[in-house]
Amino acid sequence: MEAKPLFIFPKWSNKLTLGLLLFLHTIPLYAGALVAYGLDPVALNVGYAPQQPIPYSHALHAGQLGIDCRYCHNTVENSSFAAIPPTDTCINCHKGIRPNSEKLKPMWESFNSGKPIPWVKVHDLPDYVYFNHSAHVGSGVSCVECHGQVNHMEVVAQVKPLNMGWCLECHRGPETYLRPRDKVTQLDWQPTIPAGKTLKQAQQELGAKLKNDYHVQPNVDCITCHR
Amino acid sequence: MANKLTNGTTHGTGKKYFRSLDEVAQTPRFKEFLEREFPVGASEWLGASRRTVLKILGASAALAGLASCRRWPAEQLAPYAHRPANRSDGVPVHYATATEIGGVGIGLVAKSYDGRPTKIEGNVNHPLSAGASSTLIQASVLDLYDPDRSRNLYSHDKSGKSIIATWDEFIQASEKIPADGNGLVVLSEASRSPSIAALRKKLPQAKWFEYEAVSTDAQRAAAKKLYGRPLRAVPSIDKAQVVVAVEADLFAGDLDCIKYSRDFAAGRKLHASPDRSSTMNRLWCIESTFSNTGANADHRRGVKPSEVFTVAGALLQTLGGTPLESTKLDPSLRDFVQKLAADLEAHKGQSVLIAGARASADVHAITASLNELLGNVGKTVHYYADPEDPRSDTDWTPHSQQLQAFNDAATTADALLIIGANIAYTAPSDLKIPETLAKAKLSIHLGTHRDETARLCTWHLPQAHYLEAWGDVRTFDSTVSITQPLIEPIFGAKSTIEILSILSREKKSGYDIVRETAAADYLAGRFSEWNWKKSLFDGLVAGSARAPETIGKSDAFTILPAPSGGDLELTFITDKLHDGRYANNGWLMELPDPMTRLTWDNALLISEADAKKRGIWNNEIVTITVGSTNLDATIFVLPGQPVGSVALALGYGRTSAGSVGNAVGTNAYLLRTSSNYLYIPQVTLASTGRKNDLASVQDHNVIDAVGAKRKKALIPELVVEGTFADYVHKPALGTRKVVSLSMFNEHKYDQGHKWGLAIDLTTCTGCSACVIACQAENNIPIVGKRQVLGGREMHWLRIDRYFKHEGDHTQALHQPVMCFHCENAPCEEVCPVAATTHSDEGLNMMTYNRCIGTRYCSNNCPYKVRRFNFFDFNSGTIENQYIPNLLRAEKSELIHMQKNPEVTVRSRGVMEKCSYCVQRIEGARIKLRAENRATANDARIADGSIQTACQQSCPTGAIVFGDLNDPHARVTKLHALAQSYGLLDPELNTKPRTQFLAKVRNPLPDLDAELYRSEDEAEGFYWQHTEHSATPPAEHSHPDDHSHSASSASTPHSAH
Repeated sequence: MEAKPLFIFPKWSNKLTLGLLLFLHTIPLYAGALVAYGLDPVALNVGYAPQQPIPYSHALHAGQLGIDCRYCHNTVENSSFAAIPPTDTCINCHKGIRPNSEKLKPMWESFNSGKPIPWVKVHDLPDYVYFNHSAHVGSGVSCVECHGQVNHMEVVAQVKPLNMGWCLECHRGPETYLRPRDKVTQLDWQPTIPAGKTLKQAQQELGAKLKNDYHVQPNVDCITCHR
Repeated sequence: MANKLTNGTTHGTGKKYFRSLDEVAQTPRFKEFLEREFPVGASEWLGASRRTVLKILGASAALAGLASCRRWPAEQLAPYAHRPANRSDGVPVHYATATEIGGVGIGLVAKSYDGRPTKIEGNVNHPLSAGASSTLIQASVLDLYDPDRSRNLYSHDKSGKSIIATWDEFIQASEKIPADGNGLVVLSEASRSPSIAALRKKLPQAKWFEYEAVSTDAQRAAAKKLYGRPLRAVPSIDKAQVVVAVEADLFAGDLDCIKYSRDFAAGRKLHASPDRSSTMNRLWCIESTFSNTGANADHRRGVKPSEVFTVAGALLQTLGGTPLESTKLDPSLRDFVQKLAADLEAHKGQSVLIAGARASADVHAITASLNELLGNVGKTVHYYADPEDPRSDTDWTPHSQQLQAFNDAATTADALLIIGANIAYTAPSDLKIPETLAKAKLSIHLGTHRDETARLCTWHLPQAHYLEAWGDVRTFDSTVSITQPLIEPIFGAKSTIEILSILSREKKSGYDIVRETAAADYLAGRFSEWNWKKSLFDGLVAGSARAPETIGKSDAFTILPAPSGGDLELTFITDKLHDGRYANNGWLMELPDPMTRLTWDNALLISEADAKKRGIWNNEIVTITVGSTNLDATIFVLPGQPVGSVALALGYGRTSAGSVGNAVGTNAYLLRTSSNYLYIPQVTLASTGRKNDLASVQDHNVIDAVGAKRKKALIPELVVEGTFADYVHKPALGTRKVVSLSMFNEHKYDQGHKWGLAIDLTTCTGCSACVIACQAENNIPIVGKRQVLGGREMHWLRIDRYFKHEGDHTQALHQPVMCFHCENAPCEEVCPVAATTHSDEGLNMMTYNRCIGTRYCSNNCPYKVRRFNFFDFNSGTIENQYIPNLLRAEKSELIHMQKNPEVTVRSRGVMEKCSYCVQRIEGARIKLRAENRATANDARIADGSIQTACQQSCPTGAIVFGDLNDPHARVTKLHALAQSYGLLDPELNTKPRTQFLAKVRNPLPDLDAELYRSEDEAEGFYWQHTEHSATPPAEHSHPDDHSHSASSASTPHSAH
């Protein structure tokens, strides 16, 4: 009986091999592109500035009028969460100031119905990250380090990438970012620069002193933020 | 099989423990659990064919493209419109409150996040809970968010069809009942609420009955017989040196179990006196099954339920009480009774006898008169009266007779009101309660669920959970606690007092009713806003405890005839579901029973000898026949179950419990009748030939003590145990400490903290409160019976149960096992993505967001404490687990309200394990830093300021967490004790941070000696085994000899 011929690749498969090799070369390219996309500020939401139900201007309230951050975000010093103010807080002033403004309609609706104003979250960390505002503000980390100069923003936008590498920058070297606790909500504050030193040097010196005074020992263990 | 058992122990490996009969027989099933990380099928998709998988995969890929450009969806923030005073968003608030189970009030502290109660703890000031809790308390928060809770009122329309009604319609309908309650017959669950008692007086013409399917009312019936009044006996175990439990589930089943456990442990805190000068109490146990209390006993005898009376009677006779008729005693029990009598005689006034819910009124009478005879009354036993008991108004009868009286009264009643009690399900079957209910013209049911009883009543009203309504309760010494609501009724339910107020036409709010009762009753004469607020804040009304009653000499003890027994008796037991009311609580349903380790089923517990005799074995369904009644139940052969006695747990086989509790197990109430109320004197079993795979986790996560089989005899047992006599002269009890050199650069921990945990096996009773506490704290999902069968249960903390069988006696002990946070953690070495790493404070961290689910860590963990999310168990119901996220409708929003926001809710494909409650550590650190900020110092976290969830719930204080760098910390001192040991530490050099304190029992030297082989003897045997014995005994030399294990494993049929 004639033996069954062995299966042999046909000739045209040589071309396929070439094609396959070329295709395989694109995989690292694809992977590289994916990583690049992941680290792109756009992917990290830098510049994310959603439209809010009330066109509230931080530039006006916190900037021009100089209202302290903690007037509205009053739990920032004792809670993990910096409270979004209840409608009552708005009403405190706005019952007298421009109460009939068209823009404030949702505020009055909320005040009368008891239903919350649906603000859109701008700085949105993943659910597996446990960030505690009180721990940071209490250690002399200013609002501005994460939220940027909100006092100059008409519409609040995310300015920092808020990714883990960015968090660790500060956790590994907090000196660059610490300031006196009473200056934490003064977003335009800068350390006084002694003669012959740069701003950077001045900040490093102050930061080192504050790190010691405030017993700041930022942890880089996973459980510090992931539980 | 019996041969195997005896063989395994007579050639004496010292203390030989086994987890199950499968282990003794080394069945293939057991070996599979031992050798594989997960059993066959655990890694495969259950129930979905390849085709289905491909279909779903295709759908997932298609839907993946729908994701928007932004990496995650936009979230909204919903602040308060009007924020309540003193509310800080994101900061949990604790409120003192209370609940009542079966008429026993328990003071609690509930934790609330942004208005959602998430966790319940005991109230440290409360006399019953004293800060600890039980499984029922821990699981009660889940009941609040039960999706199957009653959401509507239901009434019957003209055609008898059930329709949804409103409260206004009910109020209108209720006006048919006269305001004084004339013609109204009420049947209520047990309650000692002063407010309910006060409202009862406003319905003077109504007839009241009270029913609890499981209660220790027989004890009050005995007191009535002996002292003329139905007084409640409260034992103080902490003041007793000798404790005798007769048919009592002191540590897991009894409603006062938190107090009993604490008091029992108070007499066993050996580590409290490191100089070993302390004494130790002794627990004796007489019971008709093998209960958790029996596992903790120093001396135990299992007898048939009818023989409990005989044994107790013989004891009374020996101690000089009235001789009883027919106290013929088995010779093997005579020695036991003699020694027990002598021990009691030697501890007059320092002993206590406690009979439990399974004991008859006659047995209670015997224990009560023994307590009197031994001079224990007023010392270790106190009697209390219950004026709030509705039955005190009339001739008091026990619960077992109340339903009959209700039945009689119902025939002439105009209206029935049933409060809480699910009598259509729990009533003895001969009373035909469903027929009574069906005949009633107007029947009103108030209950948390639309249960079996609700469906037979013309009206069903949703009853508020205790976290939703105002109320008041009294505990064992009558201390009042006020039930403070934390949340508005989620489904618009009302509380019992609000309903009674509607019926008396007053229609007051619960808050007003409780305040009025406070002013008129427990705060009478001193009611002020301050005292009211203080009572709410403290969680109890100071000075509201009643003094114990003084009782005279008991009336002459009438001679009782001994009950008749048969060759196979069936005793009704209760487990985690109590009487069945918690059947829809998934946490409880999936909690492994302390003795059988069963989940999602009740089984007919039977002794090995009885099973063999009938040719039946585990997982086989048998028909239980009592007279003309038949009931199918699954067999579970429990080592230590008395011969001639089978046990079946009440509370299963429900038909209208909800999606968790329906059709789980066997409804034992179908066998219960008024005459066979506690046990059935004669049953017959017949095999049906069918099988039901019981989801017992006893062989899951088996720690392999064998290693290399040649070293087997060298390796000590996982649980180190010794007697008190041994402990006093040689406290190490066979634990071995090693000083090992390490290949690694080890952490120094010279700064900061170094966390560690100690577990005292001597005081751990295995009650499992810690398991549920851990589940509630750490967002641990339930997985359902099928997944448990596949070995996928998610409990971070499990309680291993080991049996020991010597001679005629079986003993069991419990060992809680969770991640030990090894210094040389094997899991950390193998993670390819560094998702599990070591922290600067010694914690073995698990970073979920980094985990890619290789499961290498779990494979490499010698303790098998790591759990893998094979599915997204946390979202969706059990039924739709097989459908990927994108296709699944969100159904679990309500249950998600319970989740602890401090802990990540894990998703599919992620490994998880005990974290030492790291959220509590971090919380304490942040709190301390805030305090330090004010004082500008740098204090360290103080000892005792962090309690892990398991530690906080433990009623015996067996679990201690703390900083090993602090020489004054309790945990450091415990680790330094001679009896402290790390599991498999000498063998594997893992350096576990959780250490056990060896189990110490306190037996008499001349009783059950075979169980208590002395330490030297046992240790000598280990060595002899390996060094001198060339051919060790067969079972040990050939643990993997296939022909051998196959024959022993085949089935018990072939073995006999």
